[in-house]
Amino acid sequence: MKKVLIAVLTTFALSAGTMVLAADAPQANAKDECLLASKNCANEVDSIQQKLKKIKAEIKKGKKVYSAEELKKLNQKLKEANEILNNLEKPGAGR
Amino acid sequence: MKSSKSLAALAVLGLTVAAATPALALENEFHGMFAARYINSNFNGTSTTSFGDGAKYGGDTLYMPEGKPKKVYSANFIEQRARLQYIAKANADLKLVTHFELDYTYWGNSSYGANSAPAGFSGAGRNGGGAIGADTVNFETKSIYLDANVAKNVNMRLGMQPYNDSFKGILFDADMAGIAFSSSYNKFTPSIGYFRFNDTGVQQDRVLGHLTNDLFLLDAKYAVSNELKVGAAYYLFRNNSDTTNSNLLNDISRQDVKMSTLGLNAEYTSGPLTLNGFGVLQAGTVNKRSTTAWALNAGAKYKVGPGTARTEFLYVSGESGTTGHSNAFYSVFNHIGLSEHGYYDNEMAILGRDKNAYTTDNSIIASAGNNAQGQIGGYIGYDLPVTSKLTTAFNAGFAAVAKENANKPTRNTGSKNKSNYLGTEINAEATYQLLEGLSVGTRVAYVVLGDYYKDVASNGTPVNPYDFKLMFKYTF
Repeated sequence: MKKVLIAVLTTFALSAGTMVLAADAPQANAKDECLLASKNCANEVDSIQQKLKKIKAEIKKGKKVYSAEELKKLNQKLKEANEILNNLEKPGAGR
Repeated sequence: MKSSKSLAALAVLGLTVAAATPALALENEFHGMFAARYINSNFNGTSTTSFGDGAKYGGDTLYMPEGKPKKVYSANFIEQRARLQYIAKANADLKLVTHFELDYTYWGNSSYGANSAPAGFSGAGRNGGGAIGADTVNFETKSIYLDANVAKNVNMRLGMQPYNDSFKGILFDADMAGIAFSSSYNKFTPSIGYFRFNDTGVQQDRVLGHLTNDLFLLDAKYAVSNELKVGAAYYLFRNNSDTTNSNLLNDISRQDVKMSTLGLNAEYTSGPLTLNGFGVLQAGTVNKRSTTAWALNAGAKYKVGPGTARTEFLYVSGESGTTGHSNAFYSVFNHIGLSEHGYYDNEMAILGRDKNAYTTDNSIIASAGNNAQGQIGGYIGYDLPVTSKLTTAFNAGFAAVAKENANKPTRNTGSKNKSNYLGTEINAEATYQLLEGLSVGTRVAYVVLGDYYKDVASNGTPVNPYDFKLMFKYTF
């Protein structure tokens, strides 16, 4: 029993550390789209345009998918994303 | 090692790795903007604006053709700006927001750290480094603040943050250090905040918190229905610091301002029509003068044909005298003569603040109070989308000062013009989406100067100003 437990714990300890790396490793014989075209990179973040598109698409799903509270959160996220875009594009020397 | 100790060691290792994994879940957001624009103008980058007497190069500068030749050389230059934003999100309720800026006021200005900006420009190196060799420290911090939902429905922003008023920017719209709380209860959205604009006490008595410029605010919005939203705000401005006098041209001195501002705003949307507007009333004292001032605004948008027609009207009170009770409108300025507010809904490029202006930022009306003269303006426009990638807009504006005072330019004969009419602007804009996030656009603006400026140049009436911009912009 103890030997089994040691084996299980060893496997867990080793696999947890390598799990995050698995997503980056390209499959054998498949193109690395991240290197080739900066697509499907494991650590890519959304541009502000992508973020706005995604939020609007989710809000469009409406009450069929989201509760009223969740829709309120999404609308708040939309407001924050629009604020980010406005602040990036604000004119003037001082602002 | 005994098997029980091995077991314990492995259990600890397994738990440590498992516990360490959630710390790798910090969400990183990166956003930014890059823009480069070519400017050809007899207004921007010339002696009547950017290099005028008392003008503070770097933006927010008033058109001052008085005493200059009526015809100025046309400027040709290229301006560049980049903004970078990094947001570190610990979870849905906690994030650190940072925002930086890197500008070249114009290509060819300076390199290797030599500050080529004229006297009066604050921040060595800022906006420099656009000459051959580059290599200049010009990294600016715009804002760094904590954004946290500290309780259910209560959001706190703490630090240097972008914040604007609820009146289309006629009072304040800037990066400012402070603390602001906002909440949302069904249809009611209240906010409360405190900001420290300036602290100039180190120059006198060597103590901080002694000569300060502060804002306390209460702001609330209420959604009466899906169509109608109303709002109200109270702003208390207390300025006892060495900063800009809001009523005089280029005066930086010890201020003594206690100004209460109360405003109401509303927005109504129904089908193709949107109406909005506000009324603001101020009462207090500005440098020992009791002051009552006001501003009124009405705006409308109507979807007609393939596009949207727009109209705006703005009135800001002014004051003709230099003593006694005043009606001059108070807005927020910084300590180097530049306004930290801006009204852009009128879509002007020369007559009013230009939404496309970066470091070079000049206009005929450069502040809400307009050097205590106030303003009256009517503006119309039409946004016309041509294709999914090409949009255009056409605008016209008509503006005058509300009250003539000593800040009005003098004719080359020594007298002042009777007319308060500043001028008429027409402008046109086209923007084409080259790639996702990357656009190229152009804007042309031309002003027929009013008789407010008749014969104020050294040898006659200034030629009518124009401005042409070709703009590339990438946002991500």
